[in-house]
Amino acid sequence: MRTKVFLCECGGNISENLDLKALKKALASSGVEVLRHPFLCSPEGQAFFEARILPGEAVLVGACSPHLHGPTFKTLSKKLRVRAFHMVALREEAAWIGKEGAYQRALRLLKGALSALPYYQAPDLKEFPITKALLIIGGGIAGLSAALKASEKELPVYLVEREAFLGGKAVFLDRLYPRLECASCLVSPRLSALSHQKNIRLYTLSRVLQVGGRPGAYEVTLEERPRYVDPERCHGCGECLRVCPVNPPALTMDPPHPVPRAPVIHAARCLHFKGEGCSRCKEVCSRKAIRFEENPRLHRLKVGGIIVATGFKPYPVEKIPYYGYKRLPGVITLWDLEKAFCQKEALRGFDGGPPRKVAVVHCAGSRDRRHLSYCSEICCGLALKAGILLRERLSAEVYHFYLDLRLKSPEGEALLRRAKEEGLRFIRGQVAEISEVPLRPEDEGRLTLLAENTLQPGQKVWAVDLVVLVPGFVPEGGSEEVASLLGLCPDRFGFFSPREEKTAPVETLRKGIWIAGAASGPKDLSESVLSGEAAALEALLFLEKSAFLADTEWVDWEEERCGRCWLCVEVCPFKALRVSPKGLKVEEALCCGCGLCASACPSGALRIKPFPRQAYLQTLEALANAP
Amino acid sequence: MPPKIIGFLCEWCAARALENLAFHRPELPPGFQPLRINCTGSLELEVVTKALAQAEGVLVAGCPSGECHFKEGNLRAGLHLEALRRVLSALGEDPRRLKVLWLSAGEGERLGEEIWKFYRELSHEDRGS
Repeated sequence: MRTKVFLCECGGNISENLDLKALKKALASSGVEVLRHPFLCSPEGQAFFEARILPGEAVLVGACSPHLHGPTFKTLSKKLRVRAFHMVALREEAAWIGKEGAYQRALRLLKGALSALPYYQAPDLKEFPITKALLIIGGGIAGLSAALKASEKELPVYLVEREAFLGGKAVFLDRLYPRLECASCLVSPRLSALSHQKNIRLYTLSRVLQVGGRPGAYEVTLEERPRYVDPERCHGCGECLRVCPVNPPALTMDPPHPVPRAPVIHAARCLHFKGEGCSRCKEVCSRKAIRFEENPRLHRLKVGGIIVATGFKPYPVEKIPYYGYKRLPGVITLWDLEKAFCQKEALRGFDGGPPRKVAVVHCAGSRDRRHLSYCSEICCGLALKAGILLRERLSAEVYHFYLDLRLKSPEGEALLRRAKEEGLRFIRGQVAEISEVPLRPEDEGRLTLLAENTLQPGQKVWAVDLVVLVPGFVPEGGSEEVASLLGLCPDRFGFFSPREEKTAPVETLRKGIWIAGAASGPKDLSESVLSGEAAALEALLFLEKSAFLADTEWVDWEEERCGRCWLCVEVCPFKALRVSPKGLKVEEALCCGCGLCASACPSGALRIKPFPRQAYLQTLEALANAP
Repeated sequence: MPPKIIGFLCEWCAARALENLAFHRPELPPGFQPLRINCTGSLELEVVTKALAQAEGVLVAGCPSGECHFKEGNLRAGLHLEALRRVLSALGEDPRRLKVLWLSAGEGERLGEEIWKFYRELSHEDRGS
């Protein structure tokens, strides 16, 4: 096999730290042809690369990291039908990590790769058919946006929501940062549009139970819990809510713009289900929409792709004992406040009256190693917005306790100026404790808040009527379950990791699965819409194809060596291996080529073609012999 | 002779960490030789033992727990390598020649520090401290 080595100078980045001339000489002595170019990635360099390769040759590129230009040269090599291709990061793994020994390191990298080259084998590309339907998990703003965009292409879109109503957290927002525009005015048209799209099928009160099949042809089982109200018949008059004798009513239709426009009966509170024979709602309903006899239903869907938009939840601040959430009256979270504003509920302070002094506690649990080590970025803006609304609507004195103010978008600063002009006070420091025990006699009947002001010495005491805790964002409950059903990788905080943070933010490592919204990290409304639509676009591009090409046949099974212990089947994280009467069977569309099976095999009967054991052993051999 | 270190770096995290570090043009021990792998979970022990026979130290660096791109490759690798370490001690070898490190792509500087620390340990400078 003829082998050609291409060395890139990277405009001096490599050539100034490595003696490429000597390297060329050293490699040429072992019988390979070495070619050098000042910028192999440039159009001119690529033309140089193409012009010098003959089909069937093996190619080794020594340039930058394969994460950067790997795909460039790999695609070219594939086009030129080379037998084997490999790339080593001459720049990051030799030229840039130390003057001393750089040359030796480069030589070892290249020699190692050269000796392994005959063993690398590219996986085969195979075509798989695609089912033309899309499943979206999560009916929050990201999922909605994705569904609306995707539905324009006429393919069936299934939108699954765990709660009884669509819209997620966005429907319970009152005003939006930073312009304080009405949230419902922006969100409700999207919700209405949803019911006009004929090809969107909504599943509320539903969850994904099972995911089978393979990318491009998933088979999904949904479980739909009963609503006990037929949304087809109900026209949302709300008469049933008024006659329900339970307090609070066992029927709810909470969101200001409910979709579907039909209440849900909570069986745990309903007298009918307690066997007390109540059926007042049924009697009053002129549309005969109440269905006490409903049972959970299973739905089986066939889809080609899945968008995961499971969203976030606020950090459970009751985990911070010294803030007293859920223990002290008058301690609420920002999300409680939004809901109260949105549903026009009266706010009550510690003593039950309207609050006159309010503390807004930023970063409740955020940037704290014991709780959330990260900053959610969006909450500062939300907190500022809440402070201004409290000031304007209740004429309350508002104190903001913050660590650093992180206000996004150009309008953020203007909002901060407005807040200061309206008399909101800003105290830089962390709140140490919120307590019902007054430190001063005149503070009786108020909450006492101990905090440090880092801009002034010492700890100080404030007495307030209402405390609004501003929690950070954590992944929504149940996202772990979705991750394990779909084989997604959550990061260490539980958010889904995209394939590439910056350049492929909605793709995942799994083919035919995309992520949208705050499921991949804290996002505000506009970012959620953006990522929802981006995911829809990716999904459409994928589903539009007649078939998709995927790397297959990663694994080689040597029947004679196999001891039939099937450890490989056990360790495969993607359930791609199974035992058949003919031996080991690899489900090609599920296999990701991670190589866990090969490393688990006690008899060495499995070989991962693109990076077999032999390639590593040869590399090490070459390293030992290199100077 | 300064000690040789073969570093098996997972291409999803540690190899990226090294790239991030490389942008700061650090000076790493001359005997340190990086080798990219697909996932620490795919690293076969035969390869590790061969590396141990050739170099004074072997470093295996993969993703932190829960961050593996193949779900549980790092977990499996952790188990394999711990077993290997025990075998090494049972055979009278110094298990400290095998170093396992979990770090994410952003932790380039830590990778650099750990490589130097390992290098010093192997050069007997820090032994026993």
